[in-house]
Amino acid sequence: MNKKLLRGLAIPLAGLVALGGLAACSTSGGQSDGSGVVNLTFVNWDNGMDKVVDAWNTANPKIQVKLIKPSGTGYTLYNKLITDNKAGTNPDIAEIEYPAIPLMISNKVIVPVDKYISSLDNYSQNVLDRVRFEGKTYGVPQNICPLVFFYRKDLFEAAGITKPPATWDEFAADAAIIHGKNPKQYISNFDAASPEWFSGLAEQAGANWWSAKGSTWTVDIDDAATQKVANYWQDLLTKDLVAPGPSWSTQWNTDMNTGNIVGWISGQWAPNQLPSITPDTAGKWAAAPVPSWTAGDQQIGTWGGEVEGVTANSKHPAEAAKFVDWMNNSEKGIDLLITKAQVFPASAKYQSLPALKTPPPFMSTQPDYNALMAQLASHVRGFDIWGPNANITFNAYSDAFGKAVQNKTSFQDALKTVQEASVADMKKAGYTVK
Amino acid sequence: MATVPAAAPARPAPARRRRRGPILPVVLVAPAVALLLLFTFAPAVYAFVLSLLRVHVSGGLLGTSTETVFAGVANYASTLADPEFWASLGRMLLVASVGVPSVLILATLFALCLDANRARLTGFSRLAIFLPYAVPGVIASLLWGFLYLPATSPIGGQFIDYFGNTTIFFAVANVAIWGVLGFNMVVLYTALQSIPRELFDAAQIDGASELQIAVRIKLPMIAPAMTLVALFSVIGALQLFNEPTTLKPLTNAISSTWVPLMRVYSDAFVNNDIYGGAASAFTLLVMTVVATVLVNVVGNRLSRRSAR
Amino acid sequence: MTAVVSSRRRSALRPSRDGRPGARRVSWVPTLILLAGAVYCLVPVLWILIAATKSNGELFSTPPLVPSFDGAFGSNMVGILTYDHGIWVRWALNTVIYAVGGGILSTFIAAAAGYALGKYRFRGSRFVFRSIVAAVLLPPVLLAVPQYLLLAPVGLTDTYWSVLLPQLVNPFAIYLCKIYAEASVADEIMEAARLDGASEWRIFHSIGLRLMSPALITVFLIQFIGVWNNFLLPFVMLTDRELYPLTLGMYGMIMPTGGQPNQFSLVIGGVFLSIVPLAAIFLSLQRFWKVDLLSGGVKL
Repeated sequence: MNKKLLRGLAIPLAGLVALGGLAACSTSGGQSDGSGVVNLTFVNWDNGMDKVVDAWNTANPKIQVKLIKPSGTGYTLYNKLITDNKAGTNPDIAEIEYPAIPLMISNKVIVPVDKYISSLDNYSQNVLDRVRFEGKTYGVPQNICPLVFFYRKDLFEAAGITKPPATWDEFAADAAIIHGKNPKQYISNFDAASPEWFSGLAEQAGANWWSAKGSTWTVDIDDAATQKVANYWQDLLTKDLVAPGPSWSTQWNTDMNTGNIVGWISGQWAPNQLPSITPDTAGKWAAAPVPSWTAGDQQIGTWGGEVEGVTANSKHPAEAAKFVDWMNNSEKGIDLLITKAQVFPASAKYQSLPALKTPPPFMSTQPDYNALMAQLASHVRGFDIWGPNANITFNAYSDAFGKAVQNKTSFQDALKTVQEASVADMKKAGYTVK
Repeated sequence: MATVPAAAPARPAPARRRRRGPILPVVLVAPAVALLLLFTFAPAVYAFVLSLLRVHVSGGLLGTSTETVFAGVANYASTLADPEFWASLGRMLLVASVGVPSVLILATLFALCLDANRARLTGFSRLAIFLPYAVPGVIASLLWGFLYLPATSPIGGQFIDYFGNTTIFFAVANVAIWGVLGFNMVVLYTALQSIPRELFDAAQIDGASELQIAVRIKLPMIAPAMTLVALFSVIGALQLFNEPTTLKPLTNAISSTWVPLMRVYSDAFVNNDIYGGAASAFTLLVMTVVATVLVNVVGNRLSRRSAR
Repeated sequence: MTAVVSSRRRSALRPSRDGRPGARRVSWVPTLILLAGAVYCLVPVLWILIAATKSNGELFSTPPLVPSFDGAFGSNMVGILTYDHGIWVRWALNTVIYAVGGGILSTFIAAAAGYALGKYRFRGSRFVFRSIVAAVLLPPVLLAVPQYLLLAPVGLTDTYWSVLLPQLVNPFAIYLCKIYAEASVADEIMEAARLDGASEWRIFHSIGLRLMSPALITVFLIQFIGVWNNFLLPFVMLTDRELYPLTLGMYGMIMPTGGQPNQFSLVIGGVFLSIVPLAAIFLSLQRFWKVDLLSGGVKL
């Protein structure tokens, strides 16, 4: 740019920027007017959440919650929360997935809720570990989403397979049978676009991508367990036994409809999505535990699952926490979450509520669907901790594995790329990495 | 910034009033200048400042005292040292090398056909070719996705892998071409319309065919407009973002840093690294300026030659 | 009369010169080339029309270019119009505010600036013009976050203004207006008006604007489409769904993440509903297209 231009702009701009810096601390999402009513804002993308919020608002005229549906979810949303946090414009309450909690803490987007919430004992240690760091609890866990294998019972039977694969060896054998009978058909897809799908499989295999001692991190994304998972899928892809395309693509949607893809390794939430992905196949799907590495091993990973966090920008953290607590730690709140938003509660105490006796509409032929979820949830295993830059890791996974699938190159190398990108970013930010 | 397109025009009207006095022009230009300063240049300078900063984490496992520190040119250095940045630049140029000539050639061809004597259904064709310009980019990629993928393709996606390692460049370029072709065609067509018809009549009397008239008379006459189209296409290609971004969820062939602006986007909007993103964007900006100068110089040469 | 007028139509209707007076031969080559181009451009649009007749399931299970007659068209239309308490209609109104309101405002700003820069010389006018044109080179992706950070402290984010204001100045529009003002507003007319005692302001709004009006329609259309297509700015600025434009709202409905299933058939219905009025606007404004003088006047 022109030097003169730069100099001419520097002065007014400096003023503007200074103004930005000063005022950044002064605004916030929540407001209360003269009448003593506290108004809260709540960002959440779950379908049906509006009904939960409506119920709260009717019962609590003094604390009114306004639901905001975000334009982007996942890391697009978290990044926006970080930007908005700097600008002071965050909502009071935000829905955040477990892997992003450390990122939110290190950017000071959410605050500990220990002093507001007493019912954290309802949660198992396994779940609490995901939100409790250095003795403080950041947010209230809402749901837990174990990985589940969904498969087309009718098409499995047509291929002569009477029960879902119990082990990964059986999965590979079934994949060969299905593809052998009809070369257009695949047992499922390898999803290079969904990092949490892969991390869920790695969790199950016993991987431990991040761990910490004191304030020193260990990053081990290409550990033996993850390599085992990567090799397994590369083998299936090389033999053309699984489809290579990402889930939710138009191709995948079509294949799900036409029955060319007969299974989906997904999360507990899949029955919320399947009705719009493949409405005409309702009742033909069944859910089963994801195959295990050794027969009888029940350990399982997760894909998804959210925490309701109270933001640092909130002027009414106590009221915000009260709402969050009601939603996740009262029978009324949980009941609404289950029936209106099809949430599977994170706290074991509520995993056998009467509302869970009915399966989601799409799984009507499997009345014990939620009992299966409760059973899976009790065997969930996660990494010690999610890295403070899991977003970088996830991005690197999609890029590296997408490329490896596209170019048919080694998954081992892709894994190494992910490991190196993750470590490099943590070091660059100033974390101590062993 | 003496290098931008309109900076060098030979002034056609020396008779412009030079008297000092009227306050009006300043008043008229003030809103534009004020808005531009506030919403374009101030953010740009702010972005430049950001490009010189980085985050530094200290204090405990999760870095409870995160602060922003001065990074000097470190962000630029890591952009330039990253092979992926150069690869993304290469991919962008590949798409551009397909897209820019295609837009220029097709828009010119269609404009000439519209202008040809005794061509029929021109009103229909003109609207049809223009219509894609009105389809939002986000939607355009969605629908091309349906057209490309084997399961739903009516255009041979069963036999051609539109998302292969080579075809992907054509697939992305095609969505962009499809969107902007009509607008550029209209620019060129209206330029053709402003050529005095007597020129053609005279040539016809001399026995020139329609094709000869098109090549020998019309093309040189619309050379300035063609340069304009070329320039817009080059700038558009350098800012390539929407098409690959919206096609990305459909295929493994497009990474999050497939073209430079996607890298800027994912740094700034997904990876929480506005600093690195800004540095990449300014690196790209410098390259854009250089490219613009080149087109400018070449364009000047060409139009001078054709004027001779 | 024939000696004077030599318009496009006339030369087309004139008897051809190959000795067969009155023979109206069709030039097949250009006609066919154009039709090929029309097919290329229309097939995807046609796909939208056909896809709008399909349910989400049919979209993926029936041949792409064969419409469905199972009544899904009606349910798609009802579905998109009643989605989330009719929020689509709200988005459509917002889009009108952003695209039409923003388009008109920015056209006037561009006209004023272009006229001033084209018809007057004042201190710094060249520098101002160059700076304006240089702004074309700044990619919107780069500016979005800083724009947000600068607007947040003054409380303008998540308002209509946050989407309107940054788009009000379009360098390209100012550039076109300047060139058009130079070409169409003759110095002699302005001088004559001055001699009649008209103020500079009066000359601008009663002579300048009127003479520039064909270009202003073009500029409006360009700006209209620009705002209509802009996805990133509202995406960054807006949190409140009530303020979304159509593109952002519909993008949210097809996003393949979160607990929300993608609503392909509803979105396609929505796209169908939004393209129809847009095509109508363009059909009706087509004859005003006057880019010729603009691009003809461009010298690089």
